[in-house]
Amino acid sequence: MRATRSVLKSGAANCFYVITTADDLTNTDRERLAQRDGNEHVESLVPYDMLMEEAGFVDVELADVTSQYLKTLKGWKGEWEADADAFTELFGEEEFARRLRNRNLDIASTADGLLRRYRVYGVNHEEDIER
Amino acid sequence: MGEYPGLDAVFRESFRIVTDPAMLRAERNVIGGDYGASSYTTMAQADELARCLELDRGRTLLDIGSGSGWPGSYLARSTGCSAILTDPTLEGMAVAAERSRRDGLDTTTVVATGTVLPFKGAVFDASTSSDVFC
Repeated sequence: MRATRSVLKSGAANCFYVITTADDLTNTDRERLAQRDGNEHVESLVPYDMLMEEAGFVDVELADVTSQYLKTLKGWKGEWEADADAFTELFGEEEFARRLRNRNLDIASTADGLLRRYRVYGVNHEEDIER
Repeated sequence: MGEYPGLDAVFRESFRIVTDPAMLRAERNVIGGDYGASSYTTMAQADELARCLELDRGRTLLDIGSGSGWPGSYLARSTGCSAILTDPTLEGMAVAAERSRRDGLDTTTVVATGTVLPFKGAVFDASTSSDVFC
């Protein structure tokens, strides 16, 4: 985030989407996620709005877009299943099965509140920027 | 990408197949675009980025981890802004460059990670990324 801020003009905005583990996970939740999900996820030790402010962004806003993420995950799964022959040919049987399995794990983890997706917004504050 | 061993190969391989007809058909149905997206940003969410970032002709956007050009190329096309697309993979940037060429867009592709951006300071009017590790 500091690298991004350094290339932005003063007053320029940074707005992005990020998938992260929920910031209120218990140790039990973390174990469930680790056991269940072999996918790579960013673990949110510090909420993204705080990370943005620590990086020097101001007017920071965080919007939870997890419900759309879950809908999109399910949409991809549906498309893959509906066109399974084409995707099996494209990926190979083993890889397609692995991708479908990971998709299902992400759907379960998101539906259970372990994974979240946010839209993060902040404006570059000019003072004290290090270049 | 070197910070996440194993993912490098996964993404490189992914960009070899993103323009397969089955992939593009699914992408159109799910997110509304056909850029070979590797993120979960829908077209409506990309439009929200354009609104939040006040993208317009004459402004320059930096899209970090743009992969095959989603959503940076789309935002350049839909708003008229200039876009610099970066991604750690040459394969992703090659797909993005080809799409920009076909669409006649004012975009530049740069192979780079989000933590080491090879640009002078204070040059961009806006920045974005979608589901990248940074």
